[in-house]
Amino acid sequence: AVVRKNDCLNAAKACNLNDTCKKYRSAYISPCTSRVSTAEVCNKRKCHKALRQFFDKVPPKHSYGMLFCSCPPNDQTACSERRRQTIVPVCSYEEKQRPNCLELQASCKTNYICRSRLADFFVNCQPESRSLSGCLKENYADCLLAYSGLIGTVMTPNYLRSPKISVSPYCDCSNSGNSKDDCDKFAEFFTENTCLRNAIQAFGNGTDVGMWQPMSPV
Amino acid sequence: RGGPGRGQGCTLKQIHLNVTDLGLGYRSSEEMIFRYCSGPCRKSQTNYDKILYNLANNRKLPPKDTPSQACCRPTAFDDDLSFLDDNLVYHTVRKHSARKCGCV
Repeated sequence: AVVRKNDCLNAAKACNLNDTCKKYRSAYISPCTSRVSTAEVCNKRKCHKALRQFFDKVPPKHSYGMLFCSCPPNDQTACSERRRQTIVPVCSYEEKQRPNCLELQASCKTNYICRSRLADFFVNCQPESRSLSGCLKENYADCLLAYSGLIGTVMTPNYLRSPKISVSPYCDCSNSGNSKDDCDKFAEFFTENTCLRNAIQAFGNGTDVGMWQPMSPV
Repeated sequence: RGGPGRGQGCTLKQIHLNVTDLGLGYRSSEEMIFRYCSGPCRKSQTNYDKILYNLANNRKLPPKDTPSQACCRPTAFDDDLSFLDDNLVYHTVRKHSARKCGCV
C-alpha cells in the first residue's frame, strides 16, 4: 500500500515527543473532552483557557505545526479532519445555535482579551491584492500569531470543511437585517482572506515566513 | 534529590513507542516516549528489609508469608498523554509513564 504523507499526523507525533508540547497539549485536551454534566459536553471556559495557554507556552514550531499543517487538496479525512480536530471543536468551537457574526463580534468586544486579539487579527492579516504576499503588512508570522491568538476567545476560528483553506468563527450572517453588508464583510475577512490563506500555506509548505518581511531601511 | 531509598542501580530509562504498542486497546498512529524504572535495589536496603530477609532465612515467619523486598518503582509519574485515535476520538492516559524512580 502507498504510505500517504500526513503532515498533521507527523506534527502530532512530534508534539508528543517534546515534553513541553505534550504537557500543554494534554492540558487542553483533558478539559476540552471531559463531560461535566448531561447537558454540557465540557467546561468551555476551562477548555478556552487551556487552549490559550497552549498557544502561549508551546514554541510555534510545534503549536503551528499542528494548527497550520498542510494537507493534500483532495484529502478530506485523514489529514484535514485531524487538522480540524486540533482545537477540539466539539467543545471549543461549536454551540447549540450559530449566532449572527455581528452579535458575536459585539460579545467579543465586551471582553478585553478578545477585543485586543480581534483588533490584532484585523491589523496583521489585512489583505492587499497589489502586494506579492497578499498582505498589507507583509509579515506572515504576525498574521499567524494574531490568528492563533483568537483561539480560546469567543471568536475562536476553525477550518471549514471546504476544498480550499477557509476558516471562520462559529457564526453566520442570517438574521442580519439592515447590517447584511457589514456582516458579510466581517465574515469574509475570515473565509475569503488571501493574506491569511497565503500565510497558512507558506507555513505548511515550509516556506520561510521571514521572507516577506520588509527590508529594514539602510 | 531522589525518592525514598534511592538505589544506585535503579534508574529512569526511556523508549520511543507507538501508542498502539502500549497494549491498552487504543488504535492510533501517534507516537510517544515511555519512561520506566529499572535496576537492582540491593544497596538501598533499610533495617526493615534486612530484618525481613533474616526472618525469612531463619524460618521465623509464618511459612506462607513472603513479604516483598525493595523494588525499583516509579515514585512520580510523567505528565498525562493525549492523542487522537484512528476514529478521530481523543484519549488521555494518566500515570502511564515514570518521571522519578526509587527503591520502595
